Amino acid sequence: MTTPSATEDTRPCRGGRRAFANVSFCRPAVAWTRCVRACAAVFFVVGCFGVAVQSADGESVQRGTVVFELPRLAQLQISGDLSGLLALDADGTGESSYDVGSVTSAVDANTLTVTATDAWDLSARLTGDWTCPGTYDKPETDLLIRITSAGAGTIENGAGSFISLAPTDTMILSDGSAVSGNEVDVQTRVLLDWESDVPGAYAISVTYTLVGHVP
Amino acid sequence: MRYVAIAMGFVGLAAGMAFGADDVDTQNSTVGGTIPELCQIGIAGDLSALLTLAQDGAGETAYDAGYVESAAAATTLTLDANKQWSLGVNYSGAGWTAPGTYDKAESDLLIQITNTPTGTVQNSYDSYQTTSNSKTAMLSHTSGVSNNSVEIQTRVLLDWTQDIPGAYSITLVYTMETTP
Repeated sequence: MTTPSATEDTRPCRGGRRAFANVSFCRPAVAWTRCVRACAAVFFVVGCFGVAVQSADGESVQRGTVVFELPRLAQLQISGDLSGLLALDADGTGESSYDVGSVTSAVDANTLTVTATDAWDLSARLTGDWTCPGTYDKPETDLLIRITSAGAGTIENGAGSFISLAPTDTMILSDGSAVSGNEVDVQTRVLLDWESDVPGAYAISVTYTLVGHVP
Repeated sequence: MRYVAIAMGFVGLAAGMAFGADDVDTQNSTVGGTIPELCQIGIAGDLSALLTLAQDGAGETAYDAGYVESAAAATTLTLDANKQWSLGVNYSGAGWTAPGTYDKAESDLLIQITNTPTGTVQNSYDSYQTTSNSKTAMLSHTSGVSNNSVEIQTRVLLDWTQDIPGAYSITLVYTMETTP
């Protein structure tokens, strides 16, 4: 078999290229090694921007496409209703709650379910201030939460004990790896004071935020 | 070189994952409810033997003085409320139970507040006053209160010529209520 070589080039081609001997096509204008480098660069760009492309090199492109289309995912679900925590009974739980200085939910009154494909942080913050009866301004520090069961992860900022929250996120749990269906039980406590906490309707919201991130 | 291309693809993969955006998800939990008007009153002290007088001693002395009285803090009320409130007192039922047919006057029972609790004394109960069979205000306050201690002294008038020997009793009812 004849190996194409410069000495065997006999056909003129456009652009000054040379043709292989005994065949009817011209040499490429660019060396094949340069094509490989260019393709690698394309893969890199695809990897960076997550764009799926089709290519004659089915094997390598397919691998890139399948993996590149998986974004970092974090899903947070919540169960439990605390909207009636302060609906106290007269001649019963009401007086006893004031006497002990607080009303406290069940240990698993709120359950957060964490699913993440990467490292994650779970934070909590106050969405706003208390809404209170009349002109009373109940301190936001009267709301406390604690993690009573974390599942996976490391409890942060002392959230294993009752802590107050701020309008900005306070990390309460974190983990350096992916997790699926990790249940986090949260207990809530509201401080009560006979002299301050007048009768009426109260409400405050806590926002729990899950962030999936680079480990 | 093909493997070089694949390797470069994985480099791209790694770079893509490393610089991919964080994902954020949030959920809210609302804590709330309506706190009702609440108040409670506690009582300590036992006066059931206040009239158990000793012969040849405290008995005669008490009759001579015209009364027997408890210690200043013999009855202590502890008050809690989450809004303005009032404390009242009345005697229960028909008043005294007395020996035989004797009808001891209910006005022979006097009480007074001896300490300075939170609130405003009503109807001069910071000195001895009688009670009636309907509630009479003793103390009130314009806001909530916690562990407000009210010390009450009790006096029973005695008269050599009327108060015959025998068993006597009367019950006082202290009532705390939140007010509009």
